[in-house]
Amino acid sequence: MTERSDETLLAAHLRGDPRAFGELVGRHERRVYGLCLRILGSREDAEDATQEAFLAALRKAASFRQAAAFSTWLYRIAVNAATDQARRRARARLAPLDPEDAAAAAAPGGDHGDAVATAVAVQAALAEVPQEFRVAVVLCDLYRVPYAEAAQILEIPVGTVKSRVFRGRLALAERLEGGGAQASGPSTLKVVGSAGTEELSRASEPKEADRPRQE
Amino acid sequence: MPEHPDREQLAAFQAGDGDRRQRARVEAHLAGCRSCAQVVAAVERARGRLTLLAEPELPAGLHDRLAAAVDAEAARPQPGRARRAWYRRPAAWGAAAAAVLLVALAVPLLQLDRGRDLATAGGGQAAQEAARPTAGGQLPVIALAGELDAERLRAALDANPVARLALERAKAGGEPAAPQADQGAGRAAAPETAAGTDAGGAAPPSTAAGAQAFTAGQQQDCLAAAAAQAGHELLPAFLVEGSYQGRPATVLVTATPGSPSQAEFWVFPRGDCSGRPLASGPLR
Repeated sequence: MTERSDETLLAAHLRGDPRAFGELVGRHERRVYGLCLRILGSREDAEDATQEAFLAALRKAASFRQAAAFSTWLYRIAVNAATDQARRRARARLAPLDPEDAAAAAAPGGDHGDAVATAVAVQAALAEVPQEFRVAVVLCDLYRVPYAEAAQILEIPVGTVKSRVFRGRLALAERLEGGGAQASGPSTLKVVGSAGTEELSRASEPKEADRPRQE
Repeated sequence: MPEHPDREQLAAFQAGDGDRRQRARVEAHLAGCRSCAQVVAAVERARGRLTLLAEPELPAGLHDRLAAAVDAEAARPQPGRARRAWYRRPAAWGAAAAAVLLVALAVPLLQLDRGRDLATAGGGQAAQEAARPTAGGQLPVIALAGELDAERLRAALDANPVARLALERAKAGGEPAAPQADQGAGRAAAPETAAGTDAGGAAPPSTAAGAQAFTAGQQQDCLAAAAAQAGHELLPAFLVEGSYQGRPATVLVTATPGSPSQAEFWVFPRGDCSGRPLASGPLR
């Protein structure tokens, strides 16, 4: 028997199959949790947001339209749940990675000690990237979601996704390299236009502000 | 070196966009401009660092917690289901359609030009708004020019008899007056058959204020999304079109069954109720 698609499972759920939705949760829980963790930076918040996301998906199941992939729809709900969670906590800055997650943060292979230290630093720096840029970076760079699909998830134009990813990476670089220790002169990097979570960024911003500071 | 590429151009370059000529131009610039080259290199390094973050494991116990939460939600008695499926209930459609119809009967005299800014119109000047009650289960639509926020919505709607009437009717909900109820029932059947095409006819494209009514199906989605957010059943009253944070938006205004004094608004991207509302708040 071939595995049923997500969309088929959702349809089965709507027809009253009592196990179908649970199967969808099992398939996507790790990914949704990971998404929430990287957006929120705190395990506890990520667990809450994950639960909220699946409950919201359950409540909205009837409004799912086949026009989009189930995963796109679910990730949109997950991003919204994480954003809501961040707002609820009303944290200007998000908590760094919990210590017990440090080992889990590192990718396998390589010098483990260094990798853990770097992964912790990256996660901490990521948590400081303005949220809307961070969400774009998490989707596109960590989860390898294509730009076009990220645009659907975030409901913004694809050009805006690319721009946010770029700015997110730049903000991350600034936080990782901002000490100015390197000869390459990272102090010339200037991150501008960091929008608050509420603000919807425009596709185009003043050109002057977009340009790297002159040396 | 002439003009520096801006962030959007660098982002597009890094995303692999652009034709050969555009890419060659940015490349040539990067070769000669240390500051831009540094930006691109730093961004590349950041992307590399991100690969150090592995996909986290699911914390112990989260799977069971999710399963329990989902089971509990699914097992919740009527309210949950009834809320989601309000629009499948003939009674709800009858009430909504009756409300719409009442408004439709009440407004023709207010033949209004559309898209004027209510704020500049001053209080109580109904003739300045557009209100277009439409057929086939469509809610009345009021167009407001400019940015919508809670204060503006409140001020505008307090001064707008169409809005007040629609809200009253939505609140009256279950008990419409007899003659309207008959015709309302006739209307109630319309959404199933005519929703898609009807909306096109009812909301002709407009270049100016651009009041584009949602289709009945989209209204259902909006109401479902709002109700999911609210956690209880909502009665649709009317729609407002304007812009929210610089983007075209549609606002659904609802009454709450059993709480006559309560009215809420739900802001959606225009024409799209597939997600959660962008914003919401109490109107009263």
